[in-house]
Amino acid sequence: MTLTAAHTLEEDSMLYDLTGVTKRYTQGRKTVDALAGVDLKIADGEFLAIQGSTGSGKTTLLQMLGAMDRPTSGSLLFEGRDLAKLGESDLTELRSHSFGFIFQAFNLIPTLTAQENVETALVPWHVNAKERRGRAQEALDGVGLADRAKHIPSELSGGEQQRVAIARALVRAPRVIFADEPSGNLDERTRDDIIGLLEELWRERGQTLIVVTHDTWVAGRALRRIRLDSGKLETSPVDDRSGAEGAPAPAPEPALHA
Amino acid sequence: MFFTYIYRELRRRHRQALLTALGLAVGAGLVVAVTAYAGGVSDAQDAVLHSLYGVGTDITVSQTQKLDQAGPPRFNINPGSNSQQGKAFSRDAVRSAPGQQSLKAIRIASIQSLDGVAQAVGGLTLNSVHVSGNFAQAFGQGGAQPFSGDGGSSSSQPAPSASQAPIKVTSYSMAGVDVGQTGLGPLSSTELVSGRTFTSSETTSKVAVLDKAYAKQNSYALGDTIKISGAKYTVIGLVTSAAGSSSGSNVYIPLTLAQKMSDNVGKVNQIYVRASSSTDIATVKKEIRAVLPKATVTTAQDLADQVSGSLKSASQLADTLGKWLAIAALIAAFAVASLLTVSAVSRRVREFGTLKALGWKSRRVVGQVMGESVVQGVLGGIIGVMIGVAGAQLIAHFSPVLKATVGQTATAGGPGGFAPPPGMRAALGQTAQTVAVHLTAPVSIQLVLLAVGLALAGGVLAGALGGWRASRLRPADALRRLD
Repeated sequence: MTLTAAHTLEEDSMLYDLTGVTKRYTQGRKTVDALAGVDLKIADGEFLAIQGSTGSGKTTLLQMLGAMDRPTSGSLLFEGRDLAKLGESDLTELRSHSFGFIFQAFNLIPTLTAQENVETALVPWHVNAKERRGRAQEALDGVGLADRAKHIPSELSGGEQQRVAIARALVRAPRVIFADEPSGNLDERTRDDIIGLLEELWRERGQTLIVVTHDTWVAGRALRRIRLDSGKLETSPVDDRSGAEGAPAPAPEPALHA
Repeated sequence: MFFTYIYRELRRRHRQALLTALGLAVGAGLVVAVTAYAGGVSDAQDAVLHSLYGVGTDITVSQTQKLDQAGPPRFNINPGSNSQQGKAFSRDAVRSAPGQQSLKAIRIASIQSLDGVAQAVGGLTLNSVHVSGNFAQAFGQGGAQPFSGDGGSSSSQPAPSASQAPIKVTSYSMAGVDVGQTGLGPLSSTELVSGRTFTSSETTSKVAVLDKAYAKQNSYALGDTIKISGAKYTVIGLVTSAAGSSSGSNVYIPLTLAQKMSDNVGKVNQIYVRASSSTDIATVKKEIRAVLPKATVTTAQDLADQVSGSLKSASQLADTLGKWLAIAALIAAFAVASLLTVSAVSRRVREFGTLKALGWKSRRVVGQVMGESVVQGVLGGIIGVMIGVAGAQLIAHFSPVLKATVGQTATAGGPGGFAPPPGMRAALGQTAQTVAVHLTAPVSIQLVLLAVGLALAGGVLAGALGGWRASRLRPADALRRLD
């Protein structure tokens, strides 16, 4: 497992390869098909936006990709391993080494300082306290929050909190960063800052960035956009990023990526 | 990280954490207080038995007097002649203690020879009634009516008299001690305060050992001479009965003299037996029964069963109410701690989900919840010990002096298990013995450890339940919209 991914796009080495992925939730007598057969390939180093209205299954898809949950059926290959067949401990291992998560509500631990919050991402690695501290400081520095390290989340603005969360996701230098509505709780100016930061980091480090959003402006920044509707995929690739500022016109071309 | 996280979390919800800890503390503290109280009651019972029975005495043997044989002591205080009318008189009557029939001293030897008997010593418990006053002026021909004095109390009282003559009646208890074996017998339940007790050569010496309280009441001091049944005795020692009991005798004199003055030569009315080992007591009791079928054989355990009065109530209180109260409080504390912990976990679904999404193992998350709960348990244990010790102190400080009443060995629990009701006992002229003891509530180190252990167990239980709840959380819970 490489922790420093090169920003390369190779046609035949897909990071993700999903075939017929379904997810069915059962609550009492009610069954919901959150995903109803998704086929999707994601290349290494991509910046992918997943769009869709509430209940379209976009968050469920993120959970499947992020090894937070297993599909009900279908195969979900990540680096050639089928996540649908992995056990709980393998998934935990995968999450701690390969993935970084950014949440709409930031999901920082309210009692811990910015520094300590970043350190929580290194707890599964069992690195010593000194190294943990050093890495966390570096990561906070990387998001421009070195001077806020000792503050607890409630003392930080929304934008600052999301920056801490980004630092927490990046401190492990993961292969894939997932962002679930990263700007959903932020005002427009802060949104631009945060998305700008994510984009910048993506370009610098070459990690794969997968963003779930219903914000078309955010989606427009992505290399590729896909849209979910009732658990099914409609692809809408964006070839040039110039169209990102306006409302993108979906192209019916079934290309996997640009 | 582990401890920082625990500390920060507990500080954030410090009210709830403190409440949980206090709940556990009250539960554990109550257990300490109740256990200490029960321990104190048990100590008090030991003290009572000790004072009633004497150290080292395992079995006492006595024989109940038959109902029709001798009632209260009677005096005939009739003036010998008319010339004595209006003159002063003073008489002593020394009798075997009420309700006790004498046994032949030879029985001591036969008990001594039984298997399992280490030592057997005889004693003679007597009651001395002293009557003094002036002979009544007889108005009729037949002279004064016989006056019957009943020695029930040791306080002097003016006896009502038809002839208006002031008659003073005083009584005191007396025990004849086998001077050769003072280690066992009436003196073994006492402690020497000053002077000395008898030497083995003083079989017929007119020396007496007095109960300190009795001596003080009558202004007798060491070296004084007192008059018993017309003879002069030198006071050689002062003793106190254990635990300030009223069960001992007022005056102790050599057995031989006691036997002579009460017409009991060669007789005793109490045999004190020490068994070779405590496991032999039941066997020895059976053997004595076989040798002396009519005698009442009482063991310390029999006596403990007969203890009544406030001490018995205190013991029952500790056994029933106290125990259940402590258990109920402990269960309530455990339940509250568990509920609060589980609800705290439920409010942190997203937090724990996030940690799991970050790749924290379930074990690590459970450990965190458990850690928080254990800290609460430790805190609860420490506060609980303080509550328990304070409670025990309060009990010891404010508890009234407890009284225990034991029917005299001859009175209750005869071979047929017949125990006369109190009214009948009075009619029989038998005295119940009452011992007053002050209750303590000792807190031992084991008890302190028990309290900490219980509170800790509560914390672990709550942590286990909370941890179980946390272990069921999924990483996907990080994405829940909970706000």
